[in-house]
Amino acid sequence: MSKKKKNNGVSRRSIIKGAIGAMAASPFIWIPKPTYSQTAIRGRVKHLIYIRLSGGFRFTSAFNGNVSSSYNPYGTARNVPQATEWGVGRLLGNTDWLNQERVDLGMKSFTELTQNVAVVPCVDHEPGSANADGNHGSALDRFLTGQVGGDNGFLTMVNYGLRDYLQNGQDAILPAISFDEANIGKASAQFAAYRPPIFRGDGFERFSFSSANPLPSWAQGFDETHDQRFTESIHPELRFKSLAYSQTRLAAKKFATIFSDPILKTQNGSDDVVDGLSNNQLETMFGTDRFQQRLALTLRLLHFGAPAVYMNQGNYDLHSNEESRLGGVLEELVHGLSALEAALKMLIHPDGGSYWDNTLIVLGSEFGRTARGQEFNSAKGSDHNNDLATRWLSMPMMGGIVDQSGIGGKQFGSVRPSDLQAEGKVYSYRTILKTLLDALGADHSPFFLADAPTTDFFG
Amino acid sequence: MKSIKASLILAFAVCTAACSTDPVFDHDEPWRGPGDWVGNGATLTDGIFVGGNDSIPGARNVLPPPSDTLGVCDAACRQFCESARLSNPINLGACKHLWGVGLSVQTTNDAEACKRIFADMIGRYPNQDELGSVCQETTENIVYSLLNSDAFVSHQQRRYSDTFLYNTQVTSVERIYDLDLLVKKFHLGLVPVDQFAAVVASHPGYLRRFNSPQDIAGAVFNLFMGRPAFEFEKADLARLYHPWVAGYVDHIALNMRLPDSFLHFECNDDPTLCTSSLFSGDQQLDLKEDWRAQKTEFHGDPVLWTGILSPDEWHQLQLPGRLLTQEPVFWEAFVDDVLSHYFDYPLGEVLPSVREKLIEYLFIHNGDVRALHFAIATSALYLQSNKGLTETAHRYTFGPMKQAPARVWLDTFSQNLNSPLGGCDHRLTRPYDFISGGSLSAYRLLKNSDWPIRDNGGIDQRYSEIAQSMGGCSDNETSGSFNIVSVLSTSAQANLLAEMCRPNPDNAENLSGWPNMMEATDLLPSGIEAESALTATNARTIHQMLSQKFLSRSTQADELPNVDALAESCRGANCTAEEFSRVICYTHLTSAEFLFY
Repeated sequence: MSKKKKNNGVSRRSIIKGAIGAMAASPFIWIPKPTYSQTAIRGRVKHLIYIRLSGGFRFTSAFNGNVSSSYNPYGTARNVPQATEWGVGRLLGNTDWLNQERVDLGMKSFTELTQNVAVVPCVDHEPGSANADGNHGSALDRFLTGQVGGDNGFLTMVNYGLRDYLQNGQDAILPAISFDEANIGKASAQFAAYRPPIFRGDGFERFSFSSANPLPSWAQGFDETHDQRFTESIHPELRFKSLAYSQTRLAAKKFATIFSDPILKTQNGSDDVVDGLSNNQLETMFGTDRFQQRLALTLRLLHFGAPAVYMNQGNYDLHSNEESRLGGVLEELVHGLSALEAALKMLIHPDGGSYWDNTLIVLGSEFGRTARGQEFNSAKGSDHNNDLATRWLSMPMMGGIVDQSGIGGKQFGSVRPSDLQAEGKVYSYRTILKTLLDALGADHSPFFLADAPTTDFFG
Repeated sequence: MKSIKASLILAFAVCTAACSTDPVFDHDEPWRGPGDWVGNGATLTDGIFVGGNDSIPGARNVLPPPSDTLGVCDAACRQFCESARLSNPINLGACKHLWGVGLSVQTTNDAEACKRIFADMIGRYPNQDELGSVCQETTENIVYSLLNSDAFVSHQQRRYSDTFLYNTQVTSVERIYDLDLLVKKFHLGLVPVDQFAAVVASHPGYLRRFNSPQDIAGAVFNLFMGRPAFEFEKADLARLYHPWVAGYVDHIALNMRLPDSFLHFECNDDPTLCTSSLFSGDQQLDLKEDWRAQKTEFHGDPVLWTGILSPDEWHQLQLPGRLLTQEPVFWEAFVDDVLSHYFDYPLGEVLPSVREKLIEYLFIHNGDVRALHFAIATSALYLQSNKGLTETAHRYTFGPMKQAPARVWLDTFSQNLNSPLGGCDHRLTRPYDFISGGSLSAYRLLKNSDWPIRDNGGIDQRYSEIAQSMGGCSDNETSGSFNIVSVLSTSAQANLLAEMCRPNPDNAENLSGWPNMMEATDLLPSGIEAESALTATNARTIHQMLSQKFLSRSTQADELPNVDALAESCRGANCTAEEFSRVICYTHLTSAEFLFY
């Protein structure tokens, strides 16, 4: 099969050029520029891959490993690059997945990559509160919305904040998409139009029909006639519902070309090279497990402009048998991160450079885990309650902006190894989320008014 | 079985390192908790309710109030309403703001009403057979028929799973089943509203989700009083939750560590810690520590696992819920919650007099929630058409229009397929956990659930994946099901329907793996051959049949020109009856009319 270069990705630069052209043809009107409390990298991240280590993750076993054995019974990894400041857990060093074929495609052990990963070891449920939030529901609510009972999910904020980019009126651009939690797309009435799509499944294989052209030529337009008749029949006060649906159907037709594009069928074994990699190569790098398939698909969603993709990985709620099962779940994670790093560096971005240069990968979870001062609980697992082991999330970040900012391998904050007391700065979820919004160039002015983006990481 | 199980539970009361369950586990009756102890007698009423066949009055001959006011019901208006001989509580409560002040309701046709009642009461639209049978009955009889069906109970169980956010990672699966059993008994008319609330308000299947007595008090208050608690209310109510602590239970049969609730006994030393004074005066929990309380790895002082409590102890613990049900606000909030299931606007807030009458009606019927459903579903306000124009914009003068939830949408068209699309089970939100544990009992529990199991033993999640894209089959980690219209959900629906209906022979590829493509025989009336050339008469016949099948109505006169025009185009392209029927299948099922009801 011949390899061909195809690049129909959406460029923000081209949109800006269009806007400049439009400005040149229009009389000059001064519009005050909105100002945001912002970081030095505002707008420099084009894509965010946000991964939740599902169920509560024992961060001290992996990304904050320089602590006593009661918090990290697995020990730390060997052969960690000198530039890596943060404690790399031994289980992150697993390389069973790293075969020669993958090495040939540029993949490395995760231990080697740790110098490209910056870690924030103390992200807190609620700075100033007495205890950790040790139950799944409210802790996850904080992770997804920034606070318990938050009105808007993080991806809703992204889609709202980037509304000008997403609604440019020319090309169809994918919005932020969630593979998992619906609550990351929660929206109050004011932001309801910016709810992200929730996509379940691991591929667009089901999108085998072009919904842009679902009817034979002799029946074209009959579906619209049917909806129009229905809309006109209902009470005027209720028509907005039907009209919104009709508009979504029209928009869906606009997106139909994207959804039925063969490159989104990442399991099709195609050798057609798009942006620098074929689906076949992606499958070699990522493999066929669901998480890996979703990561491969994520790369193709970025091709169509998606500014953020959210997904879960693993099930770390290991109240039992963590000792024997954690390694396997982490193996899936480090394999995926290594494949992401290698693939993103090979994929050419329409704005120039590689996708790696324009993408930030962030990991997190709803809480850490505890064995109450022991290595494991009685079932060889770990739990969650209100202590510091539960309280501190470590949020690892990797991507081009981490490299460019020279913060790879660094950690921002630290804990006392014996009891996990914070010895450095503690950050709230809201600060982190707002920093990510700022990095994406999103208008975050309506969200978290008491929290500003931090300049600690990227300046 | 129940008494044997109870005695074994009480006998097996020793907590070791973590608590361990007794070895008795019945995957057919896996519940454990207070729901099992209540509602085991006769029904609260005989299931016959008044108010199902009111004669609806015309509007009193006065100038109706402007859209932004309720209008004043003067003496003549009151007399008008009294003489109207209304017995449905909603009609009674609404009269002084509706007919009595010169407004009228939008009359509906039988098909529109039947579709709405089916969707709200049992979670799907009526099928073609039902349209010709049940839907031809009086509204009162339709509602009775559904109210007494298993489908009504299971639809309400699914609805409450979103309220209580069942999630087996957060609360014990045994407790979830017990809470679900309680909801079932509630909708069978075996448990009154106040007892239901009291049991829920102290049920580990709900409480274990929350972290502290304050969190529990806040959540329970919000759930039953319809608003967040003020700090002083939360602090006071939290005293009655003071003994509750979270822990884990190692379930031997399931080979799983289950999150569950325990009780500590600090209040034995200081009873004021467990004394509330804000609700109905001083109220104290009186729990005595005995030999069953043990130290666990999670708790320094001895605690008692709530899995081995007696009915009397449960009754003690249910004090906070009982106190809340003494407050009038509880009843208002409860009625509003049930109203919100049927209306797309807060009728109880718009017309408080409706709420008031419904509460009285509920009391008359001994707190039987079925009475409330009956009254709402037979009321003139609910049965109004959402079509046409009204003289004013008062919301209660035209009918509700809601988006079909994901499962209503899926289950409605699934009922027209040769083999069902599958399903999901609201009690087992993380089904794979019941395989990965490697326990036969866990697998049997899964197999006994609504999750479809593949031949290879895995779980068929195709239905749940589509439902989740549309907001259904929620895993309830932080919130329940929701409705969404997005480009992706709309595209997913369109692709699924394109697979099922195959409207375009040039654009057909089956990748779903479902052997469910509609056959020509499913889409054509008897006597019309698939390959036969389309005639104008046949086109109308096909449209009529598919309108009944999918839209729960007949072809309407104003549609005929469009149907005829489509048939003409079809004939011009030499298409067959089957091809025509496939286009109608797709356009009907992707229409706004199918999505909204």
